[in-house]
This record gives sequence, C-alpha cells and structure tokens, in this order.
Amino acid sequence: MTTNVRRERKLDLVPTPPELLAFVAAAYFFWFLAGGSTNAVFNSDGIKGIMAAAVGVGGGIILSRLLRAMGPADRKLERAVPMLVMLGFVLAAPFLASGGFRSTQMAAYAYMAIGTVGIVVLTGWTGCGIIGNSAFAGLAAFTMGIAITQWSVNPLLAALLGILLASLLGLALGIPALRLRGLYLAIVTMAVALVFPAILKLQEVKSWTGGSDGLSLFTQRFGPPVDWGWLSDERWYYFLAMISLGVVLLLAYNLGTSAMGRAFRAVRDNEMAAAVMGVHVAQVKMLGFVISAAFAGLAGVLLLVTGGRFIGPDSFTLWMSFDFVIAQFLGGIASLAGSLLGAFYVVYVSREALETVGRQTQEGSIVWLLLISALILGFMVLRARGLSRAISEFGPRLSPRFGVSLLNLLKIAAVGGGPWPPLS
Amino acid sequence: MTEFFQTVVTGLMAGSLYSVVGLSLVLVYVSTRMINFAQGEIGTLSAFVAWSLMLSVPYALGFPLAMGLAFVIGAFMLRFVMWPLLAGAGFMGQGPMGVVVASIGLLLVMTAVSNSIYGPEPHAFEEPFKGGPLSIGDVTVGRHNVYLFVLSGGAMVFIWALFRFTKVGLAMRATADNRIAAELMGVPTPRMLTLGWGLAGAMSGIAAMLVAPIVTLTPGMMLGTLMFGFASAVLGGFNSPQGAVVGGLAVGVMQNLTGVYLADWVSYLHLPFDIADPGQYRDIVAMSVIVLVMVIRPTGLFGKPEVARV
Repeated sequence: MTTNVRRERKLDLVPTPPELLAFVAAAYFFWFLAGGSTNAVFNSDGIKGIMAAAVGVGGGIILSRLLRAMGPADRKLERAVPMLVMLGFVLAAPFLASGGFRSTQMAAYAYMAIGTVGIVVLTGWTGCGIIGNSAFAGLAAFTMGIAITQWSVNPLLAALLGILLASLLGLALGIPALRLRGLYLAIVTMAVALVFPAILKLQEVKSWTGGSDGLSLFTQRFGPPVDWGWLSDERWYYFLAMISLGVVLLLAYNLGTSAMGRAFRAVRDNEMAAAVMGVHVAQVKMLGFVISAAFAGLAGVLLLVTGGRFIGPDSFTLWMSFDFVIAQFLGGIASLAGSLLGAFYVVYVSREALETVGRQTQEGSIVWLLLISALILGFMVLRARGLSRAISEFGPRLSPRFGVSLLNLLKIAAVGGGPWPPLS
Repeated sequence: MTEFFQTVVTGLMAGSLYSVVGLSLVLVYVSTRMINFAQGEIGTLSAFVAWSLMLSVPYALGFPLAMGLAFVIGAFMLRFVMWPLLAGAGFMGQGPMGVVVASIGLLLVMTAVSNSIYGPEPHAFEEPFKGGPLSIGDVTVGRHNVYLFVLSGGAMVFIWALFRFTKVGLAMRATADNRIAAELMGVPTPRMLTLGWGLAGAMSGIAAMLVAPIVTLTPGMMLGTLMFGFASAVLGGFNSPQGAVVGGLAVGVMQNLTGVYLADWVSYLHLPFDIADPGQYRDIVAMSVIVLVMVIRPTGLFGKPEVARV
C-alpha cells in the first residue's frame, strides 16, 4: 500500500473530512453560542450563529485550499491558515454570544478539555491508567476556595497554591504507580477519587469545606484586572479559560515533541526496553502523574472561577473522572487534537443535549442517554482508535470487513481512493 | 466483647455481599482479562425484572427466573459487545483502559435501560423472611442478613464446587490458564468464556436481589456495592477467586469495626484530635487500607503475579 502519495496540486475545493468535521463542530458551537436552543432549533439568533460559522470556517477552508493550489509547497502556511481562522473565531466568540451566560458555558468547555489533556499525557503517553483525576481537580478547587474564604489570599496565588497541592497529591499517587500496573493502578486511583467527596464531607473539616453544602464564593469577584468597557466579567472568564487551554495545549505539545515526550512513549511501549535505553522509568512515571495532576488541578480551578463560583463535594465525584476518560477515548487515546474533540463531545453533545432535552421529558433524557452511551460503545467497537485517527484513516481499513459502507462511499466521493490526510 | 462480636458478625454479613460482587468481577477478569463496570447494573436490571415478576408470582419463582435473566444478560454482553472488542484488531493495543471505558459506556446504557423501563423512583423489594431479628447468644442479627449470608455463601460454594469438581469447571480453568492450549485440547473456549460471563452475571443478579430490600430498588442502587466489590477483588488479588471472597469479608468487617471503634482507637493513640462521627470514616478507612495493601503487595493478598513476556 502506498500510504504517502501526495495528490497532485489542483484546485480542489471539496473539503477533507477533518475540515468537514471542524465545520460541523463550529456550526454547532456558534449556533449554540448565538442563542440557539433545543426548544426552538432555528430561531433568528441560532441562524445568525450558523451563518457566522459558515462564512468563517467555510471561508477559511476555501482560503487554505486556494493557497494549497496556487502557492509553493509551504506546509507551514497551509497549516497556519485554518489555525488562524479558528483563533479568530475563538476570540470573536464572546462578542457573538447572546448574553454573558453563554460565554460562561463556553468557558466550561475549557475545563473539560484541560482535564482531558491531563489524562492524555498520563494514560496516552506514559501508559499509566488513571481514573482518579476528579480528586486532583477537587483538591485544587477546594484549596483555592478555602484560601480565599478563610485566609483571604489573593485569588491568583490561591489558584497556584491549589494547583501545587494537586501536583503534590499526584506525586503521592505516583508512588503506587511504580509498583502497580494496568487495571490495578486504575482501580487504586479510582479508590482515591471515590473517597475524596467523603473526605470533604467529614465533620472535622466542615468548618473549612462547608460539608455537603459546599463552598460558595458569590461575594468574590474574579473580575478583569483592567477596566475596559467591553471586557465584562463573563467575557473575561471566557478569555481566561481559553488562554489557559491554549497554554496547556502548548505545554503538552512541546512536552510531546521533546526528548521527555519520547521517553514517555518509550515507557508506554516497553518499560524494560526503555530502561535499557537509559530512560529513568520511575522518574518518567512520577513526572507524568505530576503533570496530569497539575492539569487536572487547573481544570478544577477553572471550574470554580467560571462555573458559577460554587463548588460542593458532589462536583468532584467519580463521574467527573469518567467524563475525562470518556473524552480521552473518544478523541483518541494519545492525541491532543483528539482530546479537544472528545471534550467537545462530552460537554456539548452529550451533556448539553441531555440537559436541554431532559428538562422537557424524562423519557427524552433517557433516550438521549441511551443514544449517547450506545454511540460511545458503537464507536469503540467499530473504530478502536478514537475520533482523530478514525477521521484520518477511515476507509481503507473498514472496507474489507464492512464492504462498501456508506461512509466509505462518502469518503471516496470526498477525497478519492487514497488515505485521508492526518488531522493532528 | 459482645459488642465486638456483634460488629464482626454484622461486618461479615455486609462483606458477604461484597464477596459475591467481587467474585463476579474476578470471574470476568479470569476468563477474559476484562474489567466490567456494568457488572452491578446487570444485577439491577434483573432485580427490577424480579420485582415486576413478584407482583404476580411468589418470591421462590421470581428469584431464579431473574437470576437466569442476569445470566443471559451477562452472556450477551460478552458475545455482542465485549467479544468484538476482544477480537477487534488494534483494540487491545490501547491497553486495559479501553475495556474499562467501554464498560463504563455499558454502565450508562444499562442504567438508562432500567431507568427508561422502571423509572427513577425507588421501589420496595420483597424480603422473603419477615419478622424480628434473631439472637444467637448475645449477638442479634436481622433475618434478612442471615438469609443474605447463607445465600451468598451458598453461591460461592457452588462456584467453588463447579470449578473444583466438574468437567465444565476444569475446562473453564483450562481456558483461563492458557486459551490456545485449551483449544488444542478440544475445549470449546468461546463457550467457556461466555459461561464465565453468564455465571458472573447471575452472581451479580443474586447480589442485587439481596441488596434491593436494604437500599430500596433504584437504577443506581448497585454502584456502592460494586465499588466495594472492586475493592474486595483488588484486596484479595484480581486473579484469585478465593481472594475476592476473603477480601469482601475483610472489607465488610473493616468498615464495621471502623464505624464502631475508630473513636476509641484515636483516643488510645492520644492523637491531637477527636472523631465526632466515626460512621463517616467507614469507607475512607476501608479504601485507605486497600490502597496501602496494594502498595505493599501489588498483586493483592492472594493474587499471583502475572508474568509478561517482553
């Protein structure tokens, strides 16, 4: 099989599947953002959002296609254009949003994506299974909340303190990781996540954590540091969350391409061989845990800041850990771009749909739950490698077993018989 | 001393439930090297079916029917969901976490199924033996607890006897030990694996129908028991059936001892704080002990280390 044949340069305006997916995601995103709701699918605001997405993303795709067809083989430029378009949209989003409420909801996406990146770094790259990241997130969020309410610490310092404590807990959990592997490790981390809410509810710490009532910081305002008229609190939260996500992605990307990132993957692929090559296995695993915990901690802090400034023990149950893991697997176990997609799915598709429909009828919510979980399962059975890989290598692998499936036909119609270009 | 015995006996009875769930998880793990988060929900669904059956038929008929249903659900789960995962090329390359996530998906599906059929409101599940608690010496135990202990003990003895004395049990053990060798010896290994999952499903069906009168029948009722089933399986060693049984009993006793004696322990040790409500610490102490045991003995108390070839 020739897998790397470059198609000849011609003006081919048909979008590739990743672009299509980005388009659909953006359309949904902006439809939702601009005030579209499940009650009234196409109100004027929702249509405004779809139009904006169509013009922006469609224009970006066409622009990058034109560049590819006309210019020299400048891969950097070719890649930069869609990214710049996306960036422009992320920046423009809060100004398009109808009301501050939507901006806050979009900020909630960032926390899920950051937590998922944390899991990707640990489980995807070093191969240590973990289901306990909600404990890290909870520890960081509660540390921040307690530091602010009890000791009136500066919010930024409090957040850093929270992330630091979460990393320390990660370090402590890394110790069993040196001896346990696979499922045993996953279950030990799960035990930690399981008792974490119970610890918060203890009588002895109630004066700090507020027991089952949780901590509310309604009086606290994490407003913008500068007083620009257009920078409302909600928009500031949104930018804060998106900047954090960007920084996390940059850090993780750099880690992944560095020597340490290669050491991570070497440990995952074969611990003994990695050790023979001079990789310090214990150090790598501990580092993976600390990084994962720090990212999860950041996610928790963001949840506190952007998510209504209220946290309770039940904000950090095992289900939150499950959400992170599901997002990671849907996106592709070791893919950063995939973690963005997976988090998108978990936040917007499953949860949002669930809540909007669930408010109307109980049956509706259950049907959705069924659909969503069936989708997870079906997806895992049919496409084991996650969304990002599935998009990039659809077709050739499916066709022998499933015959000429509909998707395969679509793929051939879109890009011809060759393999699809990678997304990440 | 009476208080101590009372606590231990109560703990053993709660622990026997964890043992049953732990044993079902171990059965699944030993036969297919998979972890099934949906194990408890198989039981929940069959308990719901039992509940609706028992509106018209007696307990003694509804119980085995629901158990049979749980067996079928377990077997179907393997054949139609997990089997494609096991066989799918590239899937196992994701490591064991892929199976974990798939079974979390199954957990959601099963919860949604029982939710959509029976609704989220709690139902009262029938207790077969009504009446006041029994007294054995100074120790008093509820009738349902005795029934629960006897039945789950019986189920475990049945599994042990099946594996130890029957030809089917031998074939199942052979399949778990070395699938290729067993296949070459003429063992129909797919059937054995399915049987393993079916038995595990039936076990969790029993557990669910025993839990239901205590916690009332709701779609999410098995989660707590499942988590402690996991804990007991890990404590005993995930590849050791007897370990799961001992682990479950140990977890149950540990929980109850903590609930009663933690305040005393703290005051003996002259720690600089008091325990206001020891009951809150039951789960925390039990889980902490398990994590500690795992750090010291990574394979659990009875587990054999799994040899991986490079």
